[in-house]
Amino acid sequence: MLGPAQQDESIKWSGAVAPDHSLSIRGVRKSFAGTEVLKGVDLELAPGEIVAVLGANGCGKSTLLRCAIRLLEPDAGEIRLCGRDLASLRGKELREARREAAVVFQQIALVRRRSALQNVCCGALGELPLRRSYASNAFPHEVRERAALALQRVGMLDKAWQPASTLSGGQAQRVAIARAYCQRASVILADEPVSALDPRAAEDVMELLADLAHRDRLGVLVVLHQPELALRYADRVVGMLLGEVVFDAKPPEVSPQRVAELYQHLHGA
Amino acid sequence: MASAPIPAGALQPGPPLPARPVRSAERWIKLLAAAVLLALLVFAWLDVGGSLSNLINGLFGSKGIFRSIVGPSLPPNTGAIGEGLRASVTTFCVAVLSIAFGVIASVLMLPLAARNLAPSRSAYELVRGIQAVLRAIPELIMMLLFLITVGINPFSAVLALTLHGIGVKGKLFAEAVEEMDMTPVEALRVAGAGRLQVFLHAVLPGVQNTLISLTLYRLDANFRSAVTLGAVGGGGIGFLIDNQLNDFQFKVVATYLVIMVVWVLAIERISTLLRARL
Repeated sequence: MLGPAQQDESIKWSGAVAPDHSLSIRGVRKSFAGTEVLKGVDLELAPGEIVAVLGANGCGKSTLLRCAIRLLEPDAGEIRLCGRDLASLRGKELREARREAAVVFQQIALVRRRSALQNVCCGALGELPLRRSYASNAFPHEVRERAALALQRVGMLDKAWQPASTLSGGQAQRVAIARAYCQRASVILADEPVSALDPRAAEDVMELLADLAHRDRLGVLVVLHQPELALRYADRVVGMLLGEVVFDAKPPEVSPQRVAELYQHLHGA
Repeated sequence: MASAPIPAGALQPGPPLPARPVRSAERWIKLLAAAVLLALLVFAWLDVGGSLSNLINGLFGSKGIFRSIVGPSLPPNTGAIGEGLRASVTTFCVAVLSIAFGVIASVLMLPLAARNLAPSRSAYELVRGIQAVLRAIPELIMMLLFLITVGINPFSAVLALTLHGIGVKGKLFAEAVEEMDMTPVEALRVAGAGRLQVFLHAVLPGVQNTLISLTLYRLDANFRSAVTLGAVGGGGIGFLIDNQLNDFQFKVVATYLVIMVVWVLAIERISTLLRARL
């Protein structure tokens, strides 16, 4: 007989086999005020894989990330998150399906007045009824333990009780990643997570994201403006130019020339 | 003592600035705005029967405020201190209760009153409309209405101040939420948190300091308003001031005014200190 957790799993993977891809984006289009920002983008993300998306400002990277979990509504195309077609879901079902993905933002998305631990506990809000989550001290013991584990996983356990407002940019980003970990998401979508960090902190965060992908079998999709970090830490690098994917290759196959081409049109070179 | 040598080139003139663009339309608009403002002031002065002689006589003439009221008020009657203090505590209670009720109602309205949280445009418009109406009706008028329905007692003042306060604080609180950083809110929404969970865990902690600061800022205003409402039947020190003025007991009135000023200054000072510590 299945235990509750196993029953949950059997519901989650409704098909006979688990999906090959954590995230599958096919032919996604999105326009803003008549300007097509995404022109039929295809992208696959497998469990245990970290994929970096490179491209100039305005090429549609962040829009793609937001469309991937329907924070923005795509005009056309198919998005499957852990095997579930997001386009067909509404309301509570969509909210539940979306819990498979966690987003790490460029800005520090922590509640500044709350401690690191309280912020991480918030990752579990989606699975808790209101009576067990109406205040930060109402979180169940199991969630607190999981949050502590998440903080340990990102090397921030010693800062558990420190208010988020006192953390450095790199530390805060680690706590945001711990919150994603506490959410038990299968996919992490990171939108320029290192743009506001110094080079050392940026490397630490990228190393952590790659480690989460490889050791915890999470799918990690990270939008970057630093080609060198993408080439060093990603398993695949996707280049976007004017709303289209122009290359999707392993780092050794990505030449500096191909990367440079992504940014050339901006400077008229 | 010899001054440090100035590096060569430090005093060289900078490049000539390009000529500032002159927009004739902008100049005309400014002139027109100034003319309209001046006309409005002149009209207002005439409409209220403004007169310089009345101004001077009202202040310094033989029947002016300084000779006929301030002079006879001094020295204040110290025998009225006890009664004044007791009544001022009632006024303070009116202010505190109305602030507390107003804050609770304004916070409860926030999920609908803030544009970035409201589930629909119509819900937002409805709640902000209610707040606008409450704000538009002066406290004094509300007090007169509650005198009819509740009676002559301090609780009428509490209700009047609460309702007007919901209009004022509701708007201020909603605007604070509309200006807050929404990234933590978005992060929790993505994590699957429901509306109420997002409100409790991201919105409220995000604006907590601003809301406390606005509340403290409003406390001394509420105290002053409670004094005014007291004079029309809301009890407290305002009621005593009104009674003593009717009996021309200016020395007693002076005592009450001193007590009132001390209260207002104390509340103002404490609220400033608390706000600085947030």
